[in-house]
This record gives sequence, structure tokens and C-alpha cells, in this order.
Amino acid sequence: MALKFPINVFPSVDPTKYHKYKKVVYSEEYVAQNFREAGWFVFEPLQDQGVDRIIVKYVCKKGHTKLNESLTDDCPECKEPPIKITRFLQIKTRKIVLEKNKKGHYLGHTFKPKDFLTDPRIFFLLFSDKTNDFLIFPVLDYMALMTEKNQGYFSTTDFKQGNKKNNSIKFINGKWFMNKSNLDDYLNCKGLEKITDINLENESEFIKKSKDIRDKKISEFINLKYTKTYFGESKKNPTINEEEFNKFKNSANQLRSKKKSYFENLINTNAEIINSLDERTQTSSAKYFEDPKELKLNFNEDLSDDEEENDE
Amino acid sequence: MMKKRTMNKNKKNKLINDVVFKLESEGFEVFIDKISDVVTIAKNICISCSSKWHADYNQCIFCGSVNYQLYSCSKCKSLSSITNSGGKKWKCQSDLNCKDAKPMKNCINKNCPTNLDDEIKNIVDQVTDSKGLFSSKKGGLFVSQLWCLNCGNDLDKFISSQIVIKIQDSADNLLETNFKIFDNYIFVKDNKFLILNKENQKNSNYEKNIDINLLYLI
Repeated sequence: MALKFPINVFPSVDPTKYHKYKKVVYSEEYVAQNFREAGWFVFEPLQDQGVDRIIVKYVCKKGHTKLNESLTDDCPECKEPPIKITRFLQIKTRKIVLEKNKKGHYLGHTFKPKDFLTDPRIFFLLFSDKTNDFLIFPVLDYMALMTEKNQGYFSTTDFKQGNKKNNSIKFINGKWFMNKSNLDDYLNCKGLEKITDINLENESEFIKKSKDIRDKKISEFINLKYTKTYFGESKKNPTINEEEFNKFKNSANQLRSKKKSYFENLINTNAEIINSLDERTQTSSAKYFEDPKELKLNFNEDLSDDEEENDE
Repeated sequence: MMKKRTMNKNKKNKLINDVVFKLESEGFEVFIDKISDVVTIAKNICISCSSKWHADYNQCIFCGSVNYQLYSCSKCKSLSSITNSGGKKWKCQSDLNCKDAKPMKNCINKNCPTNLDDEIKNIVDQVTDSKGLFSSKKGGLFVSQLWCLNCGNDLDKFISSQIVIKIQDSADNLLETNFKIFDNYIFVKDNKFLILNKENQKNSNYEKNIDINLLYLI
């Protein structure tokens, strides 16, 4: 029998009865339970910081493990030991919304720059609870689709600020699209196949994809062309002219060729500046960092610093 | 009977949390499995030098400096705390006590093009409404960590591993493991810990502390 993924794991629940701000736990657990049903171990973060779930499964490297199975011992067919697949999931759940032209619905979602790390084992999962569909994108595929279909999206100021809502994924006549690209390859069982692909466990493939993500980040995230930096409040009335923009861009691009010694020197000279300040100001800066010693910052842990930050 | 079972569950929970929070305090992100005693620890690191990667840190796109979260005076450039600067009545903290100065969130690196090149500096002022390069609401002139703070490499990855936490009774000497699946085991007995990993399965000493260097991570 063909594998069904996802299945309705909580049939007693009507998701429309949830208020959207209270639905996160239900939705993430809905996704988690579906992966458990498909043989994955699902780990949830102790702190809600970055990755929403880590999922792990053990499969035969020769492909003898079915999509909904996980090994606990050598492969029964070829006797090879299992290999581990680890994936880092970012989950977004949204209700699809009818477009103004009523031709279809869109699935709005927001990712932030910090979600785009260069580890290609990061996957984005968009859950449409109304249609019970999972769209599962490897981070690199998502970036490639977005740069191809929504030129400049990653370069906008709003994206860099972490609040650029993306409405480009559409549900029209029972099919999913990003602009005009069909998303069947990322939908439900096809998405499960992508996330279970063991090629990412191959080191050379890992590095290759990692570099592809890096290249996209560098070309898109520090591209100033589509930001308010260049366009000002409207594209017709740019804040700066083309010549100024090019100078700006070239200056930013120089960072790409810097070597290790440059960054070592940068940490040292910046630390000298901070460490020459009074103790309270030093500490005020250092407390923002998980490990101030990494940045060679001196600080006094006993100094309290509990006033509120000013609003801009 | 019911009371005994509840106490045992409570005791087990306490011992498992002791291990979990120890791992978290060592700088790992800890992920738990609701339906088993397996936890995953993970860390995002630089591929080249293994320094920790901080997606929450922002870097100046011109020089790579992180945001040190300080105000600089628009007149004299002196640096001051964001949190101890007197709320909305910010004043220049230097001896100059600059009049009509404004607090800016600029890059502190004196060699940054935004501090060296007047033309670039003016444009930064213009596009950020004079709030500075790291102003969160204007410009887009900073980026979530893109270059390693230690070596400048621009690739990061997660390292992670699974740890099975097993609470042993005082009399329990059997160490059940399945290293074909799990990377590490931490056995807890009489408030002491025994760590076995898939590379070192022969340790038999329960120790008072959890030595995280004994964990297998990849």
C-alpha cells in the first residue's frame, strides 16, 4: 500500500478552533508525530532559540530501508550497518488565505536571515493545516527557488530585519506553486523523500551544497541594490545615485577576500577599544555575548546592568 | 504502591534533568525526545576552526565587526552603554559633554570604511537617518554572522550526537547498549556518572562529574 504522509495524527482536533497565537505547540507536535510515524526520532529544543526540531533516523546505505522505516540493527537484507541521517527542521504553520483576485490561496510565511546557515541538512517545513499538506524544502532549494522566482527578496531591508512576509507560495486548484513553478517535488511524500536523501551524508556533497548556500548568501544578503539603502522610500526616488551605490557596493565586496589574519587583527583591535572603556561600559557590551572571552572582552561579572535599552 | 511509583518517576526526572542541564550549561543546545530517555546535543560551529557560530550576532557588511551594542556620540564618537545611558534622555558620556549630540549605533572599528571614508560615512548617515549602521530599522547594512569571528571562514555546520541517559539501581551492574544506533550513553548510579561512547565502550568508572570530553560528537 502506498505511504500516506502526513496523516491526521490528532483526529479529535479541529485546527480552525485554535487562535493563531496558541496553535504553535499543536502544529509543531502534529509535524513531529508525523515524522515519528515515519520512523524518525524527533527531538525538541529545551530552549526556543533556533532550530524547531532535530530529527534522526537510521537507514541502510544501499537504500533497503523504506521511507517509513528505521533500522535498529544491521540491514536485514544486505547485513550492512545502518547509517544515521540527521536533519534540522524549521517549521512554519499557516492558514492559507484567499487572494484578493480570488484565483487561489497563498501560504504566508516569514524566515529570518539567521535561519539560513550553510549546513545543507537544514530543511524548511511549511505546514498548511487547512489542506493537511507539508511542503518540505532543503534550505538550498528554498534559496534557489526564491532567488529565481522572487528576485531581490533576500536583499530587501525588510528581510534583513526579519519581518519580510513571503506570500509567493500559492495553492491554486488543488496544486502548490511558487509563482508559476510547480512545487509537487516538495509536497508530502516527495518532500519526505528529499529529507531522507542520504547523499547529504556524503562529505563532498555536503561541502558542495554548503558552498552553494554560502555563495547565495554572499550574493543576496549583502546585495544593497534592492534595499531602501538604494531605493529610498520609492524606486523612482532613490536615496543615493548609481555612482554612490557602486562605491558602496564595492566597499562591501572587499570583505570577501579577507584572510584569517585580518579577522584575528579585527578582534584584537576592537577588543582594545572596548577594554579601554570604563568598567561599566565594558560590561554593558560584554553581557550581550554568550562568551565575551571569545571576543577578548574584559568584563566584571559582578556589575549589575539591568536598565532597559532605549527605544530607537 | 502509587506513591512509590510517583516518587520513582520524580527521582528519575530529577536525575535526567541534572544531566540535561549540565550539557546545556556546557554550551550545547539540548534537544529532548518526549517519548524516550534519549537527548540530542548540538552546536553550530565554523567548518574550518570549530569555533562556535552565533547566528544571533550581527556583523557589519563592510568590515565584519560584530555589533558591540554600544552607542557612539554623533559629535565626538565616544562610546557609551546602551542600557546605562539614562533612558530617552541620552547624553554624551565623554568629558566633552557634547551639546545637541545624538546616540548612534555605529561600527566601532576605526578602520571600517564607514569610519574612514567620509563619502561612505555620509551615505550611511543618510540611509539610516543618522541612527548608525547597526540601527535595526533602517539600511540593512549588517548581516547575521557570515564570517567566523576567529578565522574569517564563511562556512558553518552543526555537530550533534545522541545520548541515552540510563538511571541504574545501586545493584544494577548490567550496561545495556546499542552502539549501532546511539552515539553515547550516560549511566547514572548513586549520583555518579559513567560515560560510554561508540569509540570507547570499555570505560567502567563511575565519576562524580560528567566529563563532556568523553562524548562522541560529529
